[in-house]
Amino acid sequence: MTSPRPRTAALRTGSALILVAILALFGCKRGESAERGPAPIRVTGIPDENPTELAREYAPLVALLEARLGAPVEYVPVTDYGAAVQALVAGTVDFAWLGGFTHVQARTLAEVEPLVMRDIDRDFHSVFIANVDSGVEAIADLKGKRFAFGAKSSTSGHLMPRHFLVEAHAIDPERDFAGAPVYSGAHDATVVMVASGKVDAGALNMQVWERVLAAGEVDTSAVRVIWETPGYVDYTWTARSALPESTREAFKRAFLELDARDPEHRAILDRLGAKAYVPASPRDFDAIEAIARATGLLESPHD
Amino acid sequence: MSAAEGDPTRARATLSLLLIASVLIASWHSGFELAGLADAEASAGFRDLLGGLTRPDLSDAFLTRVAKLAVESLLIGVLGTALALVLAVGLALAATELPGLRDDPALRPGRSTARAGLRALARGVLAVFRSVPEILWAFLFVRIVGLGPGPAVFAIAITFSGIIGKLFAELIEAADPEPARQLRAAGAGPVAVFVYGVLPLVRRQWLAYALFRLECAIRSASILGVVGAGGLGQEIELSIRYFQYDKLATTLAVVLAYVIALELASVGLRKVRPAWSVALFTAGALVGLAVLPVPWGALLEARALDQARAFLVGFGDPTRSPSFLLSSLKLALSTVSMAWVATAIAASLAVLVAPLAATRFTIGAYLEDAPRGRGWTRWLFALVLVPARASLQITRALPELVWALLFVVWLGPGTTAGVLALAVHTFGVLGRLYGDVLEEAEPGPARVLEASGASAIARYLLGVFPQVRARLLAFTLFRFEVNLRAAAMVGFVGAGGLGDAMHTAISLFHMRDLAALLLVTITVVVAVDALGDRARRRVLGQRGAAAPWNTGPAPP
Repeated sequence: MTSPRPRTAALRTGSALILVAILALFGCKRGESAERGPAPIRVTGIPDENPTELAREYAPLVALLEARLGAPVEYVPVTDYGAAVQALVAGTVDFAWLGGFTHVQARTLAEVEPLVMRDIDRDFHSVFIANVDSGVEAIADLKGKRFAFGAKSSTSGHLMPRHFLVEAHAIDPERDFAGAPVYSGAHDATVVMVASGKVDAGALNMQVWERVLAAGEVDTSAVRVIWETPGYVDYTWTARSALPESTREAFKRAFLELDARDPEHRAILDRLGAKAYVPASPRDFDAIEAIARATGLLESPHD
Repeated sequence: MSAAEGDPTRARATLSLLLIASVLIASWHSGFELAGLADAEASAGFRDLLGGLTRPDLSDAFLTRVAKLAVESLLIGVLGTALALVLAVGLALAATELPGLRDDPALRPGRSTARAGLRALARGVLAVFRSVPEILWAFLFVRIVGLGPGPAVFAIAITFSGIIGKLFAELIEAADPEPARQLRAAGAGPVAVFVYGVLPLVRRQWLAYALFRLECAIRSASILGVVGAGGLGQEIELSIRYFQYDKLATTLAVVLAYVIALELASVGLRKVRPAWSVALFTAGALVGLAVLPVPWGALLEARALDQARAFLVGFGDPTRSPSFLLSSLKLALSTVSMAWVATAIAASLAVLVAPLAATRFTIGAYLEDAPRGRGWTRWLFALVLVPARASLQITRALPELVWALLFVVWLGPGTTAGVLALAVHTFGVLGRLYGDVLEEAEPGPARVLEASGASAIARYLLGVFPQVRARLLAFTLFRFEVNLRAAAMVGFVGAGGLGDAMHTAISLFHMRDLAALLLVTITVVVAVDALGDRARRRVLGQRGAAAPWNTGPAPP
């Protein structure tokens, strides 16, 4: 406490130096981003399968979109369904491949619109599978067994299977299973859980089931299908309504003009399990919204 | 001890019975059961895990990747703590009255009310920051600014500013007011009073505590990524979700090495001047600032504010339906039960293993010229000492969240996995702390016993244990408080309790439910903290010993 003045001066010089260093760092970063070309279009999708599979599915789509939109396209990976919705709602991405339920979540949170969906999405199904050693042969046998849904916000892995369990089979997932249902996080993870016997049965997306069957990724002697749900509307590419009309239209056309006769397009469509893309409209998701409210999974922030 | 009315031994026996009963009730209440450990599915899960863990992925590409992630985790912890310190100092100053500036007669009533309001607000912010589990902050920031290390940096900054700020504020208030008073009498302003009257008094303790927390933050940064916030945690989550146990084995080994290296570094740095630690810390923070892709800008953009608002709107109108509140309360109780049972299991195991790991009890003796064990007995000591130390080291090194992920794979989701995860990690922590306390015990009584030919067990039970009982209990109580927070975290990876419910609420955008759950969590954490402070003071019988890190080795 001898001479306060020089110490204050040292403090000031020190903080000034630090400030300059921080500003310089920011300056560098700002400079880098300014050198880039046109603003990239950013897309994401709900992580309903493992990241390797997702990367495989999105790579050709990104290439297609870059060619058709004439701008760089960036795929932004996310690790949970809600993050995909949030990214779209917040505008950190422009387009998101959402499930029926996540689309409805997004539209209750912000102005968004559905653009296109695969032909199979208009009549989508879930399958219920069981481990062969579990003694589960039909839905009625599920009482008292351990059961896995997919992600909590999944339409075909949670919302619709839950809805059909309650409505068509009078099974209350919160009471009738052995303990609370398990959430595997993704469709292919559900298959692994059932096959390994970690749970007795589970429900998942029909198209993923067919893909793992075709790829031989599941031991068919360990797992059997016990029920397939009636059809419902599921996935869609969703855009922020704030995007320019022309961008949204170009994006839509890029998908609608995919032609199964073109071998390059065919490869993309095959990987996604589709024959063609068709337009989607907001009304397509009204039924899902009603079901989501009835099951209590959808809560409007404003009520 | 003598102050208690009636027979102290009887009072102690009653207390012990009550403790045991509370653990039994809590374990029943939390749904904890060990029966599932060995059933067919669990053994299958265990076999899968073990199968992968014994053949780690040692390909160059993967090793390089994991090494990079370890550096990323380290930088996340350092940069997060640096930010936390800035926030903590600000909040601590706002939350306290500087000694010597109390009841300033020059202040008009309006201004002093405003100051009181500001203090209350700062205290509230500190309480919220430290009570909300850091994994929830990380999750929210992943939502707001996207995947990557940024969210983990922000999460650590916020949580640790709450923890550090609270202690900084307490130290300011406990400082000797005389220098500040004299400075004020000489006409110094508030800044000068702080810089010359208060800071020199608390600087040493602030620094020591900040460095201790830095170590905790670096450890925490190794696992926060499970929600997509970069570092080793993200890799662990992915390899578990997709059953790549060979990759998991490699990453776990790296986490183990990371934490052990951290401990060695911190032991080494404690031996040299603190300036070295400060220099390394500053350098690390600057490197982190330059290297980590933290989206600072995104935090201030309008859309980030929008999202913050969307989150806060729930707090304006949290879910209040009686059925939801009842179920949240049940979850809160079950979370407290999880922490209680886990602490009890860990403490009872640690009390047995800690003496085995302490040199004095196995190889050495209390008498200077004690007859050493001959031949095979020496080997026997080594056979006990090494595994005891290794088990404590490994269980302590892997964070609770990693254990939770592993137990969820082994046993399936649920509270049992959560309790075991907390118990295993706490066993390592308490075992180490107990060991340190035992080594520091006065050798006198044990020497007397040894000289009169008492066995090793009698020396421990009669000569050492009575001396250290109070401190062991204080450490254990402190750990229970830490475990309560951890119990709310492990739910995020499926291990039951409040964390599970919060994860569901966020996943489904039920922000009002989330707000209600958070309010319950904050209330419970703050209440248990306050109770714990009181209990520790009673146990130790002195005020200065309220925080265990003042009395002994830093609790990891």
